[in-house]
Amino acid sequence: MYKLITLLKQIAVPLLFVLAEVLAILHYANSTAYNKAQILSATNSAVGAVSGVFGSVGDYFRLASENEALRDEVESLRNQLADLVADSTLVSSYSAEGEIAPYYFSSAKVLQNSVIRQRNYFIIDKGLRDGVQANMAVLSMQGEAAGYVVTCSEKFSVCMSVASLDFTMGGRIQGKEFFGSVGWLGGDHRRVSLTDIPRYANPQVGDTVVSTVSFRFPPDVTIGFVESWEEADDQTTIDITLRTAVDLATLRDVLLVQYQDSEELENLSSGY
Amino acid sequence: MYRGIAYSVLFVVAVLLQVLLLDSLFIIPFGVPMLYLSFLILQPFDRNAFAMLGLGLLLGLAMDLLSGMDGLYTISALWLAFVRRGVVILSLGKDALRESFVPSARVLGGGRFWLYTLSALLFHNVVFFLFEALTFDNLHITLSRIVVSTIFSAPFIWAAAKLFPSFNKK
Repeated sequence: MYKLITLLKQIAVPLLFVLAEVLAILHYANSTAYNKAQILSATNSAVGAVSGVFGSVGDYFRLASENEALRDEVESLRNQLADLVADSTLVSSYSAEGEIAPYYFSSAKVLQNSVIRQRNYFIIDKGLRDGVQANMAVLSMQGEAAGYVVTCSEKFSVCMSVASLDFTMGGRIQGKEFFGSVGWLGGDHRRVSLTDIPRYANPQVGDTVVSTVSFRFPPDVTIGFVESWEEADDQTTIDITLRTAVDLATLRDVLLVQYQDSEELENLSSGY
Repeated sequence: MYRGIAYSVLFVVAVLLQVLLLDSLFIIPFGVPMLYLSFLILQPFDRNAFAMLGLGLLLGLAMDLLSGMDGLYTISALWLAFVRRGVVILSLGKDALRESFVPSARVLGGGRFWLYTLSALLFHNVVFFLFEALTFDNLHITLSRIVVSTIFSAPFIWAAAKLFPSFNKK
């Protein structure tokens, strides 16, 4: 009996450690972006309250009302612009009804943001009840690519940031037809790469890189600017390093873009 | 009593600074200064193993809850709490385990303190960043994050130790 108690005393700490660690790993392994949104929505008010103590409270509230007015204005202008572009294109190109891809813009506030992880996400204050859906593009208020919606709860949504190793989108150098894949390089949140561009594309430092048509992003959304490039391993293409147009670390308000035909395009293109 | 209050203050301040400031700022590419680990690293060396596990669990849960990381902080903080005894033996020798002082550069000597701190951070960061990545793809990025975060966290731990009351008998 004494030996058993001694043995238990000796292995109690490792046993407890293994038990707690296994539980934590299981929880982590089963965690989803949805769980993340739930946890963050629950703790956000507490964190926000403490944050207010540290921050400049007066300035914050003044800026908040100003930001809100600006967000509404940008949202309204974007929608007006989208309607105008659709109308004018219909008239000038005699396109059949439904051929024009309509985009609907709405605004949201970033509640929590990260630029220091390998997979960076930000949480916005709009969710299912506001019409937000997975795969909606997220742009800065200046219309620069910032990420896309991964999942939503009723009131909140989790968005994958451009600065995430899992993020990819199509990009091309403005004014040229060559397109490639944009992805994060993993270090500085403002450095992304544009790969699979032919060597003869002849990019120039400062060239603007914009989005290609996809089921998430509207075409010609600014992604970033060419900083440098080098020959890829296959020796036929170049890998271009871009400085992102958006500074994700300072992202506060965003535009959500709903591409009305995204489902049709995704269904059609899947499997090809 | 006073020591308990001091550690409670360290816990609250380190966790809040980490969540509200250090995790929101982009300071260095690939790296995150991990100030909150000062709560575990600055525990007296003779701290009971059960207590260390409990403190590791508490710290991990608080960080997970406030940053929405779903267990990553708990996994790595528990790991550090568990291996700290080994880290002390490896970096300072077995005799150090009997000491009840608060670790600092003043009482350990500069070289020994940095060795202990960097070792503890390295042990923690290997687990933290491998679990964060959940893949061996882009291993060079994960390794860069381990090394850079270890190096850049150490001065924050040193500063916390400098500001923390020593409670050591002269």
